[in-house]
Amino acid sequence: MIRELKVGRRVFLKAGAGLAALAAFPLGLAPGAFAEEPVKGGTLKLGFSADPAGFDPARGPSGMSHVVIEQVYSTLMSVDPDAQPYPDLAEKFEQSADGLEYTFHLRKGVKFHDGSDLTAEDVKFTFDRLRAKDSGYSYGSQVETISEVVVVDPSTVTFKLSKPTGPFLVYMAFPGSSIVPKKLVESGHDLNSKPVGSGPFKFVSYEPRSMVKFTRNENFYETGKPYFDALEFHLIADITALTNAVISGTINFSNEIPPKDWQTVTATPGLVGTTLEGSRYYWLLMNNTVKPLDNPKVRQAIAHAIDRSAIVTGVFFGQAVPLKGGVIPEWNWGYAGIDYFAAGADPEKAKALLKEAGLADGFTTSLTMASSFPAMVAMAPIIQANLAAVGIKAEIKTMEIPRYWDEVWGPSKFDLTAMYWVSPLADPDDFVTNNYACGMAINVQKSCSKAMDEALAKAKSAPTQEARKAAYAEQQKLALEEMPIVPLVNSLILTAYTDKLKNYKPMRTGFLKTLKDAWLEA
Amino acid sequence: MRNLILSRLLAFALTLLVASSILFVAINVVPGSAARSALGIDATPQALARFEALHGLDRPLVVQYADWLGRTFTGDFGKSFQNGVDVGPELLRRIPVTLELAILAFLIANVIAIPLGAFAAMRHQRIPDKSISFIATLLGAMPNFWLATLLVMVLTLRFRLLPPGGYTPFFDNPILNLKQMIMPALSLGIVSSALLIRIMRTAMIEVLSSDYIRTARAKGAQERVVMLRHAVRNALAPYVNVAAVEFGFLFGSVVIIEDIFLLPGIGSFVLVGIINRDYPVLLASALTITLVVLIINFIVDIAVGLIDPRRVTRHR
Amino acid sequence: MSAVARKSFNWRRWRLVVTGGAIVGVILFLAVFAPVISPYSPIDLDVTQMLRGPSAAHLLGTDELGRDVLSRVIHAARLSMMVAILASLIGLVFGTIIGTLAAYFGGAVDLVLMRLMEILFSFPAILLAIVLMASLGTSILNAMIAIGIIFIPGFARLARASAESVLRQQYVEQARAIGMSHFRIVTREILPNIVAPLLVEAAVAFSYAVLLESALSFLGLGAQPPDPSWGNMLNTGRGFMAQAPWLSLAPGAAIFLTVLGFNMLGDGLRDAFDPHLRDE
Repeated sequence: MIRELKVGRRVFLKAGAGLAALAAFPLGLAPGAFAEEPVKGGTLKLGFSADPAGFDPARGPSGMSHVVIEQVYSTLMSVDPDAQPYPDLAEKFEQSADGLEYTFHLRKGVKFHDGSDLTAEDVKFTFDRLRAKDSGYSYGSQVETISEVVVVDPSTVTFKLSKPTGPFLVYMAFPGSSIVPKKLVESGHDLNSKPVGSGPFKFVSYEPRSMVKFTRNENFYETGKPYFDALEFHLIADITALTNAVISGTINFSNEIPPKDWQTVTATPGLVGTTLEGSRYYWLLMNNTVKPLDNPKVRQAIAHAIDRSAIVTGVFFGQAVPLKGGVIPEWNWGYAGIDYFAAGADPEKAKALLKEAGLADGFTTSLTMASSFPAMVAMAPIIQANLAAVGIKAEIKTMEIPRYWDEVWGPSKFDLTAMYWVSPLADPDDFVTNNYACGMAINVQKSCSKAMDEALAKAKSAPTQEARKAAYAEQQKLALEEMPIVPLVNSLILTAYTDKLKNYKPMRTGFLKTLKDAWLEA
Repeated sequence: MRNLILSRLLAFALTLLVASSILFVAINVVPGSAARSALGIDATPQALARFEALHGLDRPLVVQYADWLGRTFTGDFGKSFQNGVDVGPELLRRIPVTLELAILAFLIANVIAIPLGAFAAMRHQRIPDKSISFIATLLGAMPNFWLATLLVMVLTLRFRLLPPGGYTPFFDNPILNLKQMIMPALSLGIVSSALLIRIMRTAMIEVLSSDYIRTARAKGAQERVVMLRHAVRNALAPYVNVAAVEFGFLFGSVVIIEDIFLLPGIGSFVLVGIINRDYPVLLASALTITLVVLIINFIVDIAVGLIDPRRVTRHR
Repeated sequence: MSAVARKSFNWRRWRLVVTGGAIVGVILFLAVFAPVISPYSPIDLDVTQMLRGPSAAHLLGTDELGRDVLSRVIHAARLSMMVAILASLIGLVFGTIIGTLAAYFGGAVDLVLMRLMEILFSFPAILLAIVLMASLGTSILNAMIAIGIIFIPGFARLARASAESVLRQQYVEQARAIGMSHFRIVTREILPNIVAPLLVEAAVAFSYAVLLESALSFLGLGAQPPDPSWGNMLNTGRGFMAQAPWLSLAPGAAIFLTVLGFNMLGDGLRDAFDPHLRDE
């Protein structure tokens, strides 16, 4: 039984106030971070809990690999803290009117860490390599619309696409699209263990489950940057230990602070904490092929029964935002502004929907969670209680992640389950296609709707951003009608760092590209 | 004597072989695909299949076993599924951590147990004996992971004396290293000492009531000298036998303690292997721990056999 | 045997059995009557009441989801007892069978069986438990099986030793001489006479089972949350050590007391049944 939130609001308001403050100041102009002279020097020590799985952009699927790749390599485009793409390696670019051709003009004088020049040949080589049949590239869907890469001259390259691809520029900013040195790779160099790129930091060493070390690239194409002499990625698998390391000053940066320790961390003298709404969203999956979950009314009932604010308080200690409409978050240009859910539960509406579906007395079902995610474990009893309040009896089953993948997720053997996803691209398409399109890897709820697929395709290939935005609004409305999955909350990115770190702007994508612009005070 | 060593050596080899087979089978039937653990939530079926082919997971179990056995004997422990790095070197790096923990814990256990046990025996049936026995009972019932939690609460959170975990190599910073090791070693050592106190006490009691001691006492030597020199020394023989076996047991318990205190030893390596379904890691670390325990037992067997042929069979 | 016990009434033995028995009795009582005694349901949550310290309403405080810790500790007792009893039973039954057969048939059977037992025995218990749990899959039933398997060698050894001493007795020889079937000899003559030490061993096994089960749950390999088990409560409590120490103290104390109770009971019984094994 869940009683009304009273105390919860206090915590909630605090988080809300924080967000409001950030919204008031356009990102990048947070007070105290401007009109200061950059200081060269120092080593920034960051803490991460996961180990990277290789450093070749074409290989490593793991998020942590990308964090490393991002510092060592460069991409044609990059995304800014608000997830808007801008030309990076490319000085400028042109897009053809029909959206089938993109021409990038590369900066001049860019060098790889081994001293060789970066030219259009390397760009062509990079993408041919990704598109190769046996490349094993996990994100092949990003490059599948590229039909040809043409070297116009040493600093100009044209991409010919087979059909208009809305997120194309964002794809060019993806770590997997990092430009690799053609000559080095062809000579047999193994990028997976010794990455060589043109990014702000050079790779020095990797000690498994312990440390990744970087040193400044003195020849970085953004003159004067980066400011740090070196970077250290401390790999601390245990989150509690990671948090302790931040508090004790052993490391001075982490964006993985667990919500339950946020108060303690931000109250520590010498530390600064920022919260940012990013793209880490949680959703409840219902097996669309199992009765009675195959009835959209039942699914909608479940969606209305859930008390998102209780999840925000109980699971994320206030450090999350309830998803009241579609899964595309508020800060994104694709946000549809649909207020479909209240922050709390609406058991009356849920019961009414169940009645319409002919299940006024409720039904019995099961909720299977992966026990290795503390958030899931904490969420399960709340969801169970929410459902019980409308007459749905859900039995909770939990198992550790590897078994969960194999026995529950892979074969879609579940009634209800929950998952989270961090969208690395922050293009609206990335938020929705994976979940809603028929047959996608993450669509294990097995929802298959022609209308949905059409809406998604239309939104992806619409010619202008305005057209895409309108199309996504339609798609999200459709998503709420069909309700194949239930959007839950978007958990905030909690970053804590030493107060000596200046000009650091956290990114909505959760990546750390902006480190090259930051410096450590003496 | 040579026969003893040879027969024990054979038994050791056989045990090792069977043990490794058991581990191999157990680990490879572990449900939960290694591929998906390594590749993550958005892994496509093709990527999964490719991973399995790459690591030979699609071959029949017997073939995999033979291959693994062969490679292990040549020192190749395979590559971690998680990060593709050779398991062998990382294993070697972790061994000193576990050794330091086990040895320190064992030292603590003995430093507590030998004097207390001897003292209790000397004051047999009187108050010191009863209190020591009672304390031993309490200590023996304590789960070592709870003791660890209590120690952290008091020594780290309340008094801020010691770090909550982590590891710095001894030669990098001896003071910090010891600070980091003291609580883990205490957690393991104190609980182990409970059994050892009793063993020492029993052994001493037996020795103290023996004819040999009575003779020595009758000769008029000072009681103290009699006790300390002869009794303890004689009690140590059966004590060492059990203590060595207890060391093996302690060594197996490092898994939990290393996890709690974030010590990058072999014990936590086992957990890394299990959580990530990283078979090469799991196999290598589980086998290493088992191997160490087997070696200890082997040495004890030989030593006991040499010292006192009557006590050839281990008990417990 | 009983003559010796009767001759000198050992108060220490008696104290051990009584104290241990009392503690065990309380735990068993809690386990059996958990739903009746618990002030709240172990899954009743209220996020507005999270992480409150001990109070009149919640004697042991509340956890991170506002659930009553006392109720969860009581329900976890049920789990622990179930696992301990069944695991010990598995160890006892299979171990006795193996040990008795080994002793009875001797020769090759003895060699193979006991060799196997020795190999199994040489695995460090926690390690074997962890690997078995990962292998079988984490569930309460599998925890019982895994721990039971770990106990088998110990029981087998004891059964074999006891059976051997019985086999040397005259009446067994006589039974064989008059042509009694193997089965009857084993069940009529041997088993009844080895039951006593085995039961004492079982009492000690209980406490070890409780310890192992909580260790497994602590590592996340036993009962999965939100099912309450002392081990996984202790594990979750670790994350809140500074804010809510009672989350770690309560379940840990429960494990400690249970193990203590069974240990004392086992010790006392052992003293009572075989004074020669005292203090071993």
